[in-house]
Amino acid sequence: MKKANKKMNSLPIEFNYNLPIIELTGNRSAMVEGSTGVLHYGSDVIRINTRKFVIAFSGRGLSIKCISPTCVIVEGFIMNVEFIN
Amino acid sequence: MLIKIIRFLRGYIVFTVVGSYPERMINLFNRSGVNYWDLLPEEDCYSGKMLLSDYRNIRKIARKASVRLSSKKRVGLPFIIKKYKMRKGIAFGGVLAVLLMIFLSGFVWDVKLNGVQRLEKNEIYNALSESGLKVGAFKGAVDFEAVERELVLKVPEIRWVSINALNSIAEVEIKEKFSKPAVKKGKYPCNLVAKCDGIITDTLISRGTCKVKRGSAVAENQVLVSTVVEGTNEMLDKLTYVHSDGKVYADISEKRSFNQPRNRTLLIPKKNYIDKTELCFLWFKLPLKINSSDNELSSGIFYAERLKLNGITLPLGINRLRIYGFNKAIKKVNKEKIKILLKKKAMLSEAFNFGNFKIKNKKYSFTELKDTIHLNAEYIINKNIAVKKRVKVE
Repeated sequence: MKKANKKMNSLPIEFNYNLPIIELTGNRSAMVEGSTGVLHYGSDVIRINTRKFVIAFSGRGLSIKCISPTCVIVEGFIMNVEFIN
Repeated sequence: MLIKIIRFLRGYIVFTVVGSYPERMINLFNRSGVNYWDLLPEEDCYSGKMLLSDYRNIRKIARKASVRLSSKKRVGLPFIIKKYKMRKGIAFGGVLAVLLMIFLSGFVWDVKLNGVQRLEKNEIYNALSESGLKVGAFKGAVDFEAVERELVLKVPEIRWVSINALNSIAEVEIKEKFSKPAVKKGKYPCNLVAKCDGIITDTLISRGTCKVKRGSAVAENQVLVSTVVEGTNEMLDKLTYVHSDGKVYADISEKRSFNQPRNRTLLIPKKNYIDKTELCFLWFKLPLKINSSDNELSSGIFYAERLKLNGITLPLGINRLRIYGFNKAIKKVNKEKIKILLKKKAMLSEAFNFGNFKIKNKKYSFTELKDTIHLNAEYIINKNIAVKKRVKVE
């Protein structure tokens, strides 16, 4: 059991807990890998659902540049990133 | 850019979404693999773009998401084709134009010469034409490397040549050979001798011993400047042979004779001329105007007009040949006119033959014969009569 835990710990954290990967480029763009859907889409707020929590991007002029079943790219002036459980 | 082209070719629709839960629609689209882009939230709706092929299959999804889809704009080739479906001529013309472009791009439209300074361009064009590179030649049939080699052999003044067949224009880059510098031959001993009889007026000697004086008469081949130079004070007994150099000016007498028959044969141009026109397209020539001329004596002027677009000569143009006919007429000319003609001939001859010399005196005399009148011109010219004559020293 301990060996199995050790093996699990040697893997990157996102594989261990199914966590999404968020890549921010300044405050202009954010890429969320591991999304399961869009919960809210507005020019001020975009809420993206992941397996563990909801990520809310707020700002102005926000838009979804690209979207696929597991990945979303948000563009605009991001002022705030919120993680909602 | 490539993606934009592909989207345009496939056709896309700018759509708007109105509904309570457009986010649901986005998720449903993702799950069903529908491709869309530029989805932007607007005041009370969302607008985006979608490929035409996907738009046909999303009605069901939209109903499921309880949103209302409406197309705002249709962009792309399928819509243009649909618009002009009834006008088959346009499509046919377009296809024909593309085919024609592909066909024509296989030929040489123009041959340009770059880097020619001293050589005759016509000579190079002719050499290129003989080797197969000319306007209208099929590019695939021209071996450019062989043409380059042949051109260098045919025109020996060319040092280097390279032919770049860019699109349909063959640009011939040419480097000419450097001209050899003149070798100064001045090492051998020589005399300056008189080219003809004359009276010396001036001497400008740079090397050698002058043997004549101003005012002295000299005969042909007489030594004017000797190669033998006596030694200086230290070496009085020593003689040296030098390469004589200098100019010896003398007054010489020249005679010229001109004649003019009393009856002149004149070629009188006819009032009418004949035009021959042909349309040129690459190598093909289509006669537009055919006229035959029965003139024994005729002369023609050839014009070649080529169509130009943005400085590029197109292989389309018109060749014009204007032929003038002449009538032969024999006219008796009066004495005075003949004399004027003869004087003009004499003056022309003077300009060509004595242009570089000073004519000190000239005298014209006329001799009238039965059929012709002669003009005898006598000149006294001042010119350099010294020529070099090599001396053998043993």
